[in-house]
Amino acid sequence: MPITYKKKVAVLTGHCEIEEAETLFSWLTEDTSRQLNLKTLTTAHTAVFQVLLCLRPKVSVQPESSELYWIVEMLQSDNNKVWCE
Amino acid sequence: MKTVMIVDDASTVRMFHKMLVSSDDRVVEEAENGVEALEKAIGTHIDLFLVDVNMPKMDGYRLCKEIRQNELLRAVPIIMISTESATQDAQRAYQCGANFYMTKPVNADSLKSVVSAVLGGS
Amino acid sequence: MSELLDVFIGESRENLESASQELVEIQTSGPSSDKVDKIFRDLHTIKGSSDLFDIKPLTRLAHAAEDLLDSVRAKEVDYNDEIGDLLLEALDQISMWFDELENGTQNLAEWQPISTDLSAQLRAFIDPSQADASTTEQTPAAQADSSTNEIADSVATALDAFDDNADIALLSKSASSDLYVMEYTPDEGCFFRGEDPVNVALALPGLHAFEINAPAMAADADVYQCVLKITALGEASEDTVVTHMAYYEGQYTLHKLTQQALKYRCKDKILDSVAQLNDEALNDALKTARETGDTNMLQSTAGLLLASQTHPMPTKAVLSFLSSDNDLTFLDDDKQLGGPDDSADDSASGADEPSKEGLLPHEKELLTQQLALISSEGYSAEFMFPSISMLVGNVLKQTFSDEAELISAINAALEDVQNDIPEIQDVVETTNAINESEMQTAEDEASQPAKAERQAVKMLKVDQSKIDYLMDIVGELTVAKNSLPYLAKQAEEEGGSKKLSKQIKAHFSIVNRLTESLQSAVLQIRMVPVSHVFQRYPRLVRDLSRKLDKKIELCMQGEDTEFDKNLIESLSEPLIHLLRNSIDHGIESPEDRIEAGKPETGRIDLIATPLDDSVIIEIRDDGKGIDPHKIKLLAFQKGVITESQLESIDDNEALQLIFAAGFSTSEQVSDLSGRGVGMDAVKTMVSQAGGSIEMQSEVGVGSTFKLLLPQTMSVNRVMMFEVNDQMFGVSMDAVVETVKVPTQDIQRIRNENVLVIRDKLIPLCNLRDALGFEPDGGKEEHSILVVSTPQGEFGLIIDKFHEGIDVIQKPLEGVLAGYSHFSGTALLGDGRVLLIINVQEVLSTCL
Repeated sequence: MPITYKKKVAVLTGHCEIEEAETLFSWLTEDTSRQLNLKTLTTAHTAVFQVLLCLRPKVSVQPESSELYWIVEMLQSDNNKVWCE
Repeated sequence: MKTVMIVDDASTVRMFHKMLVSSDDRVVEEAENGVEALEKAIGTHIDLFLVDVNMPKMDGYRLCKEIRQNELLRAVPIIMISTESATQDAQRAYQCGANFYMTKPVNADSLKSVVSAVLGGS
Repeated sequence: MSELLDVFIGESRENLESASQELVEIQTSGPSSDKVDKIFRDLHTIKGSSDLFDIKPLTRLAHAAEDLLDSVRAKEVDYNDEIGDLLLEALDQISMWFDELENGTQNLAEWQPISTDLSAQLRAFIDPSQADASTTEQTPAAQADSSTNEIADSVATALDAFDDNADIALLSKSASSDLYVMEYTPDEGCFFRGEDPVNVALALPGLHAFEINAPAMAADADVYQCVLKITALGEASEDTVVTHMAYYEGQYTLHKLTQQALKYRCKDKILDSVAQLNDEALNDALKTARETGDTNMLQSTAGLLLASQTHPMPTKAVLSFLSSDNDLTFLDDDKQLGGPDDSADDSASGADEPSKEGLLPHEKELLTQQLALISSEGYSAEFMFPSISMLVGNVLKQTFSDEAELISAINAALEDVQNDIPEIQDVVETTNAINESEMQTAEDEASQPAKAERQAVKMLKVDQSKIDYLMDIVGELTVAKNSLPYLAKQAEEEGGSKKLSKQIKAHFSIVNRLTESLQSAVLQIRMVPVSHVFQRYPRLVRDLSRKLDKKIELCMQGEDTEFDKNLIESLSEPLIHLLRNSIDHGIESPEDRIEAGKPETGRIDLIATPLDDSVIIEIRDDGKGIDPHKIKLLAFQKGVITESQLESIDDNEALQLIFAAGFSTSEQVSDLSGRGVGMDAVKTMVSQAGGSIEMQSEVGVGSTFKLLLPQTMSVNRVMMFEVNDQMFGVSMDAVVETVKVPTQDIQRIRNENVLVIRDKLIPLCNLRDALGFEPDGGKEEHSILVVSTPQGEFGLIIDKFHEGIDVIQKPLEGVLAGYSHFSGTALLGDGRVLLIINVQEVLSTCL
């Protein structure tokens, strides 16, 4: 599903496709104080994850989906290592 | 005598699986697709179905459903064999009524022992 | 086993030969997409069937060649002679390996390095930056196997690189023997191949931990270049992992290690951690465990400690390890080679008999699965209980009256198993070993002259050109026989012999009958069932729908319907485009479908039905249908229709507009559908093949395309006529009548020439114009061929009529293929080529 861009927060929902990566990247680099709402995000293409992991933006709302535990951990800690439980 | 029916549209695969599964106390039937499988199964006593997923005319998922709908065939265990290894494919197989799911290419010994176990012998 | 191998080798040799031939041709006359495609398919087949046998180095080599060819045909890589030479080398190598397999002299250990090397060379062309990189560590000798208790240096490095305590952490989480460390560096351009590395990694079998190295991205970075590096730790057999990563060969390195070897590596850490904890109970329990082998006390003590406080690493992992059931003999062993070979022992007992009340291999899995099925949400007792209880009953030798009984029996059996030694994974190791010994026996068998008789085959493989030649001769015969009646007449009139004439006529009818049978028979040779073409489609649909995250089922019917081999490819192209359009634009995403109250999985029906000399092919989808209003608007915007037409045409006519030239409704050129092929191109293809196409659609319900195609290049009765001194033909079916009219009878109404025949208004089309000849002014009378089309009757103004003849119509080839005015050619008795016009096309340019 397409990302909704509000003033300071971008809301990612459902599955984010590869095409979203470009817009998201520009949006985040324009203003680094912008944050992400990942509440209803379920999955995403690598390109989108890549943007997140390379830019490490602040997350205003963490994803509810337990499947994304790994990116939550990666973005919160300094390294990008995760042990699956 | 136990009867195993192998359903797969590729003759090499049927041949291969038949080889693995045959023994003195077993009969192996073959079918190229779900339609043929049902035709042959009704009226014969089948002890196990080995079912491929991708077949013309009627695929493995549908065949499973049909077998489960059919009062005469309902109790026969079904092992689904597929090239897909994703969990959702296995899930779908189970939802359609399969008892077990294996991915191709099957490990020869695994298939042999699974079939032995399902048929209840050694 | 040898019979199967024979069949495989026989078939694959043919594939090899055909691939080699194509390659050689490419080397002389340059690459063409047909040839590349053919080679790709040959290698794909070899790869697929070789997978049935345990000849991985061969499979991997074929895979590498296949991938390279895929890149070439996708125009990602330019073909050059170097590539050609390398491919030939690979083919030769595979051929040599076939020889070995036949003689029983194959040596897979020798194959490994050759395969690795050649594969790497092949893949280097795909992405030169990967030239020296990633492969799976092939040679077993370099691996930790159960006979050494050391892990290879490369593995150790990779583990440590992940984390200082990765070793003990992995050990504490693993339950089986096959562990791996994978370094996955996707190609920069992998997104364009449709790859999604992170999700692939997340789905790795037995994944325990992973790291994603993500460098900082500059503001002007290319978002669609993959710059991530993934390292993954997990437990699974090499085969499982390799299969999972099948599409990504060349982008990752897989380091294998055994749990045993890992234990030895962690020995010091474990002992040190315990010493540091300095807990009396733990020390005692460990001592007891090492002395007596009884780990119960140790497990509970460690568990208690683990739960009671938070511990730093590595202590946490050590305690976790000690609290599970593990063999601890390694603690006292001093890295002996061939030490307590747990796995070997276990697998011996596991594979052969059940130990005490243990279960046979896979019985545990089967039981666990049945338990899962019964406990699942969607469980239906009526449909599933019979087979589940049958299965479990066979395994446990009991009968069950209800689910409760069954569940407790399974649980009881599984509990017993927990305490048993053999793990399924260990058995998997043995089964791999057993596989190899199977190959041994296969070798033995194959070394006998098993090839002595290829069984008497009832099929003949014939060179297509021989059949084509046969067809040509039959064609000429057909035409040649036609002069006999004329000669008969001559014999009567000029020769004065009525008797002779009668005899000739009699013989003519015999020759005629024979010729027609001959023609029919030869055409039959070329008939193949459409399944030849159809069988590619399920895969296509699966791949495309997966890429688009849609769920689509393809149901095919009538694949037995037969078609002329030459024409069948002309059928395939439009079908693929229609299928792609259905998948791309027709079927909605699963969410949209559910919202619309449709089943989540979309359905495409592909049905072939014979009808007289033709075949009807229907492609039906239950997608969102085509909106006539949208079409109308777009057509108007593109200038295909005028404003008044926008008002006047009805929904059905609007739908037909998609066939109009220059029309494409897809705003994004979806690169999955190729050039976003418009329907007009599809229609042209169908017309070229001598067929027609129809479409019906209902918004929200779906769309149906019907193609009507001639089944063979059958004999057509054709009417010859002349324009500008050239001979043309038109299918006799279309001809209504021929008239000669004086010029003044031709009237002009609204810019068109028309003729009135018996109160019918027949629009006229001047073929001189339509075919691009100079106008021939000042004629007093005109010859007009009245033809009938689905749109009504029209008149074609020509120069001269000629007689009707039987011809075998061939589709256009080569230079002529682009001319949609003509539907084919025919060879005349005197060697001239007749161009047969496509009435519909000609009329559409005219009017």
